[in-house]
Amino acid sequence: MTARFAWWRDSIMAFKAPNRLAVVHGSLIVFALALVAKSGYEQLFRHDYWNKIGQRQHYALSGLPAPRGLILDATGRTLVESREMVRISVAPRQVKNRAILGRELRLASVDPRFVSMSLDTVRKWVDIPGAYLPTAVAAAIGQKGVYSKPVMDRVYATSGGIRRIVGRIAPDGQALDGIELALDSLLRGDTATIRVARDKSGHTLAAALGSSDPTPGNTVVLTINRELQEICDRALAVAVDSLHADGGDIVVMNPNTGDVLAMASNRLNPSAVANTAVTEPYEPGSTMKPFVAARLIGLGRATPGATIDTYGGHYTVNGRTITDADEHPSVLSLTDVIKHSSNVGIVRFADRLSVQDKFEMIRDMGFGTQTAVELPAESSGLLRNPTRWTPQSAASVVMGYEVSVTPLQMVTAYSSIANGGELLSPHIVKEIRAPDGTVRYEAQRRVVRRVMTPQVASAIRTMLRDVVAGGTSTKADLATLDVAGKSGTALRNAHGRYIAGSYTASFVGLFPDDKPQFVILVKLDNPQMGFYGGIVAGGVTNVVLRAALAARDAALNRSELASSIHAPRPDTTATGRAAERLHATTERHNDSVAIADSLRSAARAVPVESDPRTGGYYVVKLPAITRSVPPVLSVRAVPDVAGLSLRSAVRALHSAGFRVELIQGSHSLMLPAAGTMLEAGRVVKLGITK
Amino acid sequence: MATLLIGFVLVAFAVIWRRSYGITQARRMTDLNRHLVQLEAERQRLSAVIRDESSRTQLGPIVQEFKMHVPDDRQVRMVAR
Repeated sequence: MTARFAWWRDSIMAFKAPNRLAVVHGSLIVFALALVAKSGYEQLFRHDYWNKIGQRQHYALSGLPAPRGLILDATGRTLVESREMVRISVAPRQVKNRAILGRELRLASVDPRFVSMSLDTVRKWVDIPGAYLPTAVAAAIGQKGVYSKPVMDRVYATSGGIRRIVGRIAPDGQALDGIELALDSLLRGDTATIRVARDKSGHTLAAALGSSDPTPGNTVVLTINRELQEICDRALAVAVDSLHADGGDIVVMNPNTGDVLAMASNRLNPSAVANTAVTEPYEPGSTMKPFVAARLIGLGRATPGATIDTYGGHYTVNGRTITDADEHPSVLSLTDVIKHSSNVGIVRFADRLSVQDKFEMIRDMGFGTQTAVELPAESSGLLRNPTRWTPQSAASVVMGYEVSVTPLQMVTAYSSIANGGELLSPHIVKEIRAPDGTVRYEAQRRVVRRVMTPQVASAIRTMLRDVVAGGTSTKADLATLDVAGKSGTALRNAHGRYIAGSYTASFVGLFPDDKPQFVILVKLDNPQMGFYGGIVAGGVTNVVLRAALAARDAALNRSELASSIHAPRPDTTATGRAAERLHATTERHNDSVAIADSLRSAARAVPVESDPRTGGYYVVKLPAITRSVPPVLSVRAVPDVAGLSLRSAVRALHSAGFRVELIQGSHSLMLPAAGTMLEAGRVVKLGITK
Repeated sequence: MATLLIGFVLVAFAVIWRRSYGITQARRMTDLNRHLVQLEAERQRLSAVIRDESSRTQLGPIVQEFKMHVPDDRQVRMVAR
């Protein structure tokens, strides 16, 4: 026991306290070991964390804007394209040569206020508003302290009508209206994100690392023919100006395919940019009468030759006196009623139709329902349920009152007369192509329903031919080609009251009358220098048709037209006489009939390689069409639910993708009618009885 | 040891030269690309100007000053294609 304590004592006594140097060395060794340990820990276990921080400090992600897709016309000419512009920012304190920068910015037309701000070293950073052409600011961007960012800008054709169709893009890149809005998801490309190196100040270096190109948007090919569109724009502008009208619309459609070839709108208010041909309904007036005649003939209630007494053009029904504007014999046939646009005649003939017949007649022509054309904000017009009709309504609707239609709806309805009785779904988008040329969508001819037999359509075309040949619309006629059509002159309505002396003058024409290639509607709002549709709107139609014939490519099939040419009729107007003199001078040795015959012979002799869908138009062979995918536009037919119980009908409509709204009315009432092409999600109204 | 040191210096030099050359080339490519974009934007601007100036909207009033008119349909010859 004693020996053990002795050992402890000796040990303690032998211990010497370390000196200060040893302590320092020891501490350093411990610190070094800790440092190595910590370093090892950070390297081995926290590698990812530090790697991320490093990447963030040395590199930045930058977005490269994708160009929106092109918008082309039917012949492949550019209507809208994207171009790269730049936004510039200046860090005044980094600028080396202020005098040069100031001069370059002024040369680039930068607002002088922002030029001063850009040179003011009190400021750290100045964002110059607006986007500039890269060439305009190239010299300024080359200066130290000037930073640029690419942005995409749209370049539009100047034609006012085309701008209304294609729509606009806001400065922030958001689509506002027109095709730009309707097909935004297809036109918008995919922005590319690139990695760029940053300098010690955090500014990005020019070189991109591992960059990939942004994906441009799809190319949209419209059915619009730019040449015809410009003709319509110009004719409408001149007409609105010379007639002192509040505005007007022209729509031209190919009645055989449903292609909208031109759509011009004009309003006095220069800030009005809506495509009023689809957004603004109007009361059509007498242009509604041919549909009444078609329904009468179709149901066997009248024939074109059936006569009726118009009581000298004055007829009182339900306390309201209806009058005729045109002087005519008291007893008129149905053909003459249309030719002279007799209100009394059509109202008396329409007495042979029930209220339901009249409602269905208007509804079946597509009125009161959107046409599903690929444009936003389309109006469905106004067609009231017969339960809401007043005692006057039955007479009003057959004269084209108490019904509102859009110009596009009216042209679509007349197209059914032109093509033998099929109501087509109009379309303005011909094709959508991916950036690699693959066709993603191709418009097809879509028949909504048959609204009249070919025989009835032919009879109505004959009536319409008489209207232009010797009725209310002779101004629309041409000398060597026949035009069929119907005029309308309707009092304008404001706040529920008709305004005396204010009219909507319109004319719907089929050109040529035997094999129509155009259905053209001209509508003028409140013209002050003449208001009869057949005269003012018919005259504009004539101008458009003559210009289209003289144009190089205005969507006319000239081979077919050549076979419709006949000997010229004498023109008694001043313009006509002038043309006659010129014609006589230039073609003294040629007999016009012989020319027409020779053209017909030429048409027969020269085989035309035509696409059966387009009937001899230019067929644009597009590159790299490899495959087709299902259409991207979700339009489907409204199912026929006639005979089903209400529950089953609602279920069928829901299954087809439509919403259902129940309205008071006949159980068979459905708006729009079965067969109508509608986008999924649209409301279908279904009648229920109390 | 000396060989190792010289080898290290040579490798380091090669790496630095390669990076410098790469950055220079990348900057040159960026400049050329920017120039291409500038020229493309200019081309589009000029195309738009030509398109606009040759449109009927612009030409209509001018040809009217020259007393030109839209021909009558009797003055139009249609050649079958």
